[in-house]
Amino acid sequence: MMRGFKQMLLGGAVLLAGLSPTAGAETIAIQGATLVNGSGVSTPDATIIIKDGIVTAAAPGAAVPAGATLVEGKGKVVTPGLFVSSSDIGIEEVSAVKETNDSNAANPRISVAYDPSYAVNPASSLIPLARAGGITRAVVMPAVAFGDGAHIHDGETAGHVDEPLFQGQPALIHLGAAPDIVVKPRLGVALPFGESAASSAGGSRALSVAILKAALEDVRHYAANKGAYNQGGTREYSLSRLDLEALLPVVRGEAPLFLAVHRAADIRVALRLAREEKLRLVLMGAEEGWMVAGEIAAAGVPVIIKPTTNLPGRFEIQHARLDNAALLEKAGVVVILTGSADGHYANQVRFQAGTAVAYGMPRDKALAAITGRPAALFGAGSAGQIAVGKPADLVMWGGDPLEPMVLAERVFVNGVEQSLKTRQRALEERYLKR
Amino acid sequence: MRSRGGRWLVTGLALLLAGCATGQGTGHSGGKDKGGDKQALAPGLDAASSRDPFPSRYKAAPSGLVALTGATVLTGTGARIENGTVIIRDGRIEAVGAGLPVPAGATIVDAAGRWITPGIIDMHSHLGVYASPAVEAHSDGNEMTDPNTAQVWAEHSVWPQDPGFERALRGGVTTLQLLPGSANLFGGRSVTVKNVTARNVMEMKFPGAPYGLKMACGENPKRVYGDKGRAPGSRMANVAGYRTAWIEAAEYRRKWDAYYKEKQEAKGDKQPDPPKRDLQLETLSGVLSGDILVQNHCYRADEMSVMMEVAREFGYRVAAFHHATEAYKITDLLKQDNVCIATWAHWWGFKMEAYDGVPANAAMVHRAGACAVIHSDDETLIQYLPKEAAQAMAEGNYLGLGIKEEEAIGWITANPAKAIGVQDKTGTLEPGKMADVVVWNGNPFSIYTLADLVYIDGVPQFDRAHPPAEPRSDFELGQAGAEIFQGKGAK
Repeated sequence: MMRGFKQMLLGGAVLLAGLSPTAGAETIAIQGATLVNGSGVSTPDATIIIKDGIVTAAAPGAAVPAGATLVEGKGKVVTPGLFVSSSDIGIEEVSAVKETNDSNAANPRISVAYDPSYAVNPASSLIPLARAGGITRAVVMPAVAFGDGAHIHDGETAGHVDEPLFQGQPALIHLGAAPDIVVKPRLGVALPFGESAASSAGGSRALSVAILKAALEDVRHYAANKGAYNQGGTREYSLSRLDLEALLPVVRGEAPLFLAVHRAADIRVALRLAREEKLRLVLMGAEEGWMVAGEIAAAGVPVIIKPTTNLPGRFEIQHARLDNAALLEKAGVVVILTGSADGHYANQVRFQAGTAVAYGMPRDKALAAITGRPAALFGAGSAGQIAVGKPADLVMWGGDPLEPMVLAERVFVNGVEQSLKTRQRALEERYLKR
Repeated sequence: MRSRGGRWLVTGLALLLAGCATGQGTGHSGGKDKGGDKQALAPGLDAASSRDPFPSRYKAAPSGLVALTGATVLTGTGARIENGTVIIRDGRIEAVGAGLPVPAGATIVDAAGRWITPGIIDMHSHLGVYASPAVEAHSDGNEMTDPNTAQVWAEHSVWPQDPGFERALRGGVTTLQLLPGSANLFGGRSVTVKNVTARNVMEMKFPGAPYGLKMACGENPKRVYGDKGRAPGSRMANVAGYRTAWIEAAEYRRKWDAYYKEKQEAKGDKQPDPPKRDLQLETLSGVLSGDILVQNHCYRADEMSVMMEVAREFGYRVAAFHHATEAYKITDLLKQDNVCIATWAHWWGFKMEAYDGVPANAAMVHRAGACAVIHSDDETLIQYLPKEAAQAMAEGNYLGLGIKEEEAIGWITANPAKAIGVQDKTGTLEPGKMADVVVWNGNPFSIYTLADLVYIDGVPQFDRAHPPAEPRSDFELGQAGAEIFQGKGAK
């Protein structure tokens, strides 16, 4: 009896998992689904037409071309592909196996210039799991702003290692099955600001500010004296040539500084520094941002936050609370939601958004915070939205995408339908069959 | 407070129960020893007299009579009751059923449109021993100085002011097993607590809950000690370490048994000399006598299989494998040996032995008829255990396992109660059990659902409609925050 039961189970699983990527010319019409756009706004009973990977219609009552494959969309929700906005997905496989983990770079000569896009592995087993969870874009973020639990107390030494203040340049990747998944490297420069920066700067936050200011001054001097520098005719700089070059776009205001900053007082120092140095800023973490939300909004600085942080795990996040996202949103800050920086958990980002909603963030804003908003911030082109004439980069969900009981049923990346097979599902199926 | 005589009585009872459970209890209660040699041997020197040296001082406030009406009730026993009523009297569940008559004088809580479940139990938590803020001074969960630290007790590290307890309460958690870390083969004793305000661990301790012994397989012990250039540096040395310790524990147990026998037969002033008490071996021999439950951190299927053989070799039982990311590979073996597993839905890949973790792990174990638990091991995840269970259920149902909500709730209520040995006291909504109950504002597996009311022994410890004016933790009390940045001093 058990064997028959198992075979029945497997039949169902194979049927679900067996959807093959769109091959050749095909038109798909999803009918009667709730359509969510990049602003998070829902339209019920919509028809979404995807022709040869291009969205040709996305609206209620759109005409279905002859010969289209009809997909029942009743009860389904179609959203843009989701973003995880700060992750090490693509550059790590097993966190504690350091040969497989490129996310712990710490080289004093190449800190700003560290460009993790060269380490991205499109064949990582983390990517299909994230993709099957509806994630189609990720920002590979070298700064550690969103660490979490996974067994740090198992005997690892607590505290910070000697690492450079600057942590490198985030890269935007897509999560489609393809050999080239780096969409846009060098989005800006990431660095910590606060307890962790104090530790690597020599024991005080104030030192990290001094180091940052000195670096910016050096970059300006270097930019004006490149010729002399190459002849060995300038004063000594605090950064290597590679790092000076990498910081140039930030000094020119062309690329943002991604600051992992937590304490309200530190956020205010960061805002002041950005004003004084004329820098573009993105705040990451910002657990105490709710207390200075008005100032963040007035500065026009976006925040990337993990809404579930609500414990005083460190003194600098003593006032972390679950309605941080809601309060920042209410104050007019551009809020982007993300989850753990550990790429194994990229698929959890939608539950982070759901929790933000449970604690007061409007649902459409929370959806925008994992689709259209990060797409705009990172310059992700047509991703993060469902736009007619653009390649399909979207997910059809079995229901509300923020609910853990709901799964992604069809995923398109860059116009190509993706398999929802994962290594985890291969293991599950092997041992169900046994 | 309880009289000294009363405590002797409790100790005697505990021994009696332990004897029943194993069929070979030590059988010499403290009461019998109260005679002539009481002066000679202090309780702390006699293993049998000192069974409960840090006793529970938890006393629930009177709950009165409460009727929760009109809810969708998941009982934890696998049943789902629509329009259900739960009646609480004097801290106990009195009745559960559809549309029950409300007894006269009951305080009525209209729970129409809401859901009711047993209080959530997290059987793997480090709250209190790795308290927030996670500064070095609060790092009290791992005694990484020897591969066998069976002599340490987690309760002696528990800081009741950890703000994590209050956050977990808001997530519906009423009972927790607090464990030492996993650096050692034998990490020490766990303690089971009720999630109540306390000034010391005794005021939280779950009355009558057995102790657990934390054991650890695999990478952690061999890394921590191998890196120090000492054993164990490999998995085979891990196993040699367990076996050596059990052999010593058995010898220790024999010594004490012989002493008690001699003492019973001794006449007049010819009293035997007691053996020297050894806290490490005492905990281990408590496992051999069935009084202490083995809570075994173990990820891989092959290692869990070996650990079940070790248990057979020395005549004890593994109560539960914790983390158990590969449990789905050995569901038949787990079922056969009646071993629970406690795991996550979404954690995997943080180290080699966790690489084969799958989201349907709990669902597959459950469907195969073994005992599945979702645990947290984390101060944030503990606040979201129903959502974590929902992920395991969703993936299980993707595979066609057909898991229902009334089953999955057992992964965070009845099953952890069983795994930590309190299933006769809490974990389900059945008459006579402690009234540990959560009223949710919707389906608890929904991401949007929050706990409205959390009862422990019938006393509302959290009421979302009337949140406490002050934080529960002393650490969070009186800390300046918003008033600095948003008050009169701010422009």
